[in-house]
Amino acid sequence: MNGFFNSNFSTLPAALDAASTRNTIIAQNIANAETPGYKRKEVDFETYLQQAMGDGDGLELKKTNDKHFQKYPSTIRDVEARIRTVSNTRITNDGNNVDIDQQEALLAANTIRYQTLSRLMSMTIARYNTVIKGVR
Amino acid sequence: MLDIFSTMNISASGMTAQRMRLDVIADNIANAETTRTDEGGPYRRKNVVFQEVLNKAMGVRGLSTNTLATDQLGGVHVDSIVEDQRPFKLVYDPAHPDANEEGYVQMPNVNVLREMIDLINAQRSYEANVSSINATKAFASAALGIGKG
Amino acid sequence: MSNGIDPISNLTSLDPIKRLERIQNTQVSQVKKGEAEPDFQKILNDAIKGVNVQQKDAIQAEDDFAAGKISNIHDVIIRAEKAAMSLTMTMEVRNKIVDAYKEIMRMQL
Repeated sequence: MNGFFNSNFSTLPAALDAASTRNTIIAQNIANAETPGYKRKEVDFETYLQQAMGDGDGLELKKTNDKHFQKYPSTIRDVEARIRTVSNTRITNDGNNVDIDQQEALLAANTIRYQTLSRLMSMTIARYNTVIKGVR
Repeated sequence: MLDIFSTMNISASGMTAQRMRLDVIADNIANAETTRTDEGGPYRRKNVVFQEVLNKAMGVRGLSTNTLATDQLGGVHVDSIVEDQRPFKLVYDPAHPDANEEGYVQMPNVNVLREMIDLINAQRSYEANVSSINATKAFASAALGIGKG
Repeated sequence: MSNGIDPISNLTSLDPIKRLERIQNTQVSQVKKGEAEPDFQKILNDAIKGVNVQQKDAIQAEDDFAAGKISNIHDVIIRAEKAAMSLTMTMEVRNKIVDAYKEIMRMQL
């Protein structure tokens, strides 16, 4: 039963993880919106999942060398979120590149995403329960 | 995974830092005309210095190739309160008790307008941290609802 | 033994074996006519195929949303609810068929 609700079962657990991680990253960005030299962080997941699903704008990841990508996802169930520091954008005088308005917008969108994903998770569980409980 | 609570701590640290900044701004505004301080001389503008807080993770699986994990993120803290070293303003006011021989008074290097803008920014940042805590609360609420009904 | 080619003599026969054969042959000829008669096996298979399509669509909707390809939340939720509904209905249909079957089995004894 252990493997039942992990990522082999659905893309939802990984997506929930990614949204949760993103929430923490946004909290860190907002807390450091005025810290000199701080560069904002971002979480990548959705684009990786799209690429693994095979239609990322034609720019599919081509594994030309096994060493190019660590943990290259072989199936969509293996895709994980990654944290990245953004250093190549416009900055203020003190070297900080956080746009607090953008972070707040991202915060709202990501929260809705997580709420939707957890509702979908509940419905997936309910479908299984229908079969388990309903069989006479 | 302590994500919910440690994430809330991050936002709380942001709120604390902004609160300290507000205190310092209030101090600056209140002393914008103070020519005599305990240390002698006019009031010198004060400023907070923020610093990112990163905890040492204890063997946590890194979520990226930079080995940065969410458990290491500790928000922000006020590293120090420093005095603005820019020169005092010289104001011509011979009637002032602290005027020098040429009639100039050294006034604090506080620009009240600038302080007001800082105050608004600090307020904005404080509220953004509150939004962040509320979002984290929504996460906890949603997670608790999985599987119910 | 008679193979039921002469139904009239079997109808009036008091021989229980011949009566059974009459019933049996009537059923066989009805099944051969086929299309107009309800076929529970086919109904169940179609329902299962239908529900599988719904389940797959719901899973596809989940994956697409997780990958950020869908921005309409209501789209995903509706597809998931459809799958839940069709699954519940199929379960009910299946259970009723099983119940009916069990009852028939009891009758024959």
